[in-house]
Amino acid sequence: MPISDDSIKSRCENIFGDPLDFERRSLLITTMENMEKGHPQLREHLSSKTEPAGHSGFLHSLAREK
Amino acid sequence: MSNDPTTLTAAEIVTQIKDKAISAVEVTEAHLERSEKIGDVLNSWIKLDSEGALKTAREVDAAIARGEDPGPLAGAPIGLKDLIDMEGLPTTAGSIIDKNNVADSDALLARKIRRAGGVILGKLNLHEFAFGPTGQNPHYGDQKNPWDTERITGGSSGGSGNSAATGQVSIAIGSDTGGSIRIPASLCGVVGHKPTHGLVTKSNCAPLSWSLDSFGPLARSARDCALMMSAIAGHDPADASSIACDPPDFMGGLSKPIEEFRVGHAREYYEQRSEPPVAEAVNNLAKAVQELGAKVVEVNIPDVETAFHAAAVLMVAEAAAVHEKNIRDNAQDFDPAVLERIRPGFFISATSYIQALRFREQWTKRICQEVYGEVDLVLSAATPIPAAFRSQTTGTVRGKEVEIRTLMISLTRLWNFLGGPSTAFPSGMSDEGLPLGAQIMGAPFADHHTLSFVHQLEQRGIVKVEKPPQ
Repeated sequence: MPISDDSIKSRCENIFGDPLDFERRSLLITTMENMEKGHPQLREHLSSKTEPAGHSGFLHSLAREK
Repeated sequence: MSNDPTTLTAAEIVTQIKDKAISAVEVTEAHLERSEKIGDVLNSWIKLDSEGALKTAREVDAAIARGEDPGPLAGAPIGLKDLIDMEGLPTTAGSIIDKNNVADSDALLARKIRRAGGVILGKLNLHEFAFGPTGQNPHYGDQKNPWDTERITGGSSGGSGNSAATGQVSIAIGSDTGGSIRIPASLCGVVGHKPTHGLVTKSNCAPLSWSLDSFGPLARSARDCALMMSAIAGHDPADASSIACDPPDFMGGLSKPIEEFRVGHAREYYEQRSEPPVAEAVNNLAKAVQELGAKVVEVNIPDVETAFHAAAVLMVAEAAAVHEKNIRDNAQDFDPAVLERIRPGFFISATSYIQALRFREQWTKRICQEVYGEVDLVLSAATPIPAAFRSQTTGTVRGKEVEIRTLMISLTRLWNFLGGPSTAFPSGMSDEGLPLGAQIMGAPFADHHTLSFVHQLEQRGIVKVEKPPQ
């Protein structure tokens, strides 16, 4: 979901103590938007059976099968 | 055989030392001399520990004189990426923030190398906090490519790549979160192995992203990578992501005949993401492997784009968590380019991070079933272009201009997300005289197979590690 410029500015002030200049905020927004593009794809792909620790559990199960 | 120990592989050095044809001290002195001569030119090192290395070498020689076996790495000169603790030395992680971060003990990874008889020469240069695929570092100098010093080594293990390529060390240890072993291996023309996630200890090694980091070797042969993996793989209860299992037989596995492998040729994955000479080199390799008797079939890797984005979410969010305190307290001391890439991590939502983790399990299972149900290994290019100039910020692939940082990791990041092993190796030379790189990617715990594949091609002269001019 896109995050507004004001929201970025406010969050930057809270986290870093400065609002970041325009150029840096633009870079941040672009990077985040690129990453957020994957979010709807993830939602569409996900099975209800998966959980966050699943990858680690899967590797451990593979190791046990060896 | 050459009289210059810096031209020998680790396996050759170990044999000569055990045969008393040369001493560990002589080998160490020769490598230290080369490191002092060429390391400054290439910005390979953050700290050379000559005194410590010579002390270890004398211990190896003394053990041999007593008739004892100092171990499988007896006297082999090793370099550690400066993320790995060595007692009494600072672990800088390539930053000035951690320049006084002196370790009070060796990381288990370093201890395992010493126990195997390896001689650690010091701490190798890297991209700051291992967060960058070019090896450029404003604090300790850009790591320079030995094939053309105006070009990048690739990163983040740039010092590991250029030191292994130029015989400053016989084996270098790097780390790989999105390609940081395989990219410098590809651009510097050596073999680099990213192990299965959790197979090599990360205790007391500075993290970039806990769920994606793996530590592994770069060397001038697959045999040397296997030799190192034999010494460092294994369970570490102190490392939360370490996996309790018996490591594969890396050295024994090298003899597996190539015709027994079913190889998936991931043409669709790399061809349109690589410049034509890079793709052509891998296509030729696939043909050569088939002619040797291996079964080669084309394979598709599903959901590449989604997996790539999900891996980015994990990496950046975890990197922001790792560096939160430093960013609040010492933001001015970061390389600005690194800082700006970590900062988006503070804005990744918890749900995005969790969905990425959930997708990872689903995607990994799918790859293991759909791809590795049909083939043993997957062949691809490692980097889409040869080494770029250090002044370049973008590169061109198939007519499309892309940021160098994005370009460099575009073919490697997925196997960090999978958690499987991948070995990068030289696939030829470009018209400009630069190394081209391929990678062979395995299912989790198939590390011995990826290394065997490269070793078998080296034995047949199909894969050649060339000596750079520097």
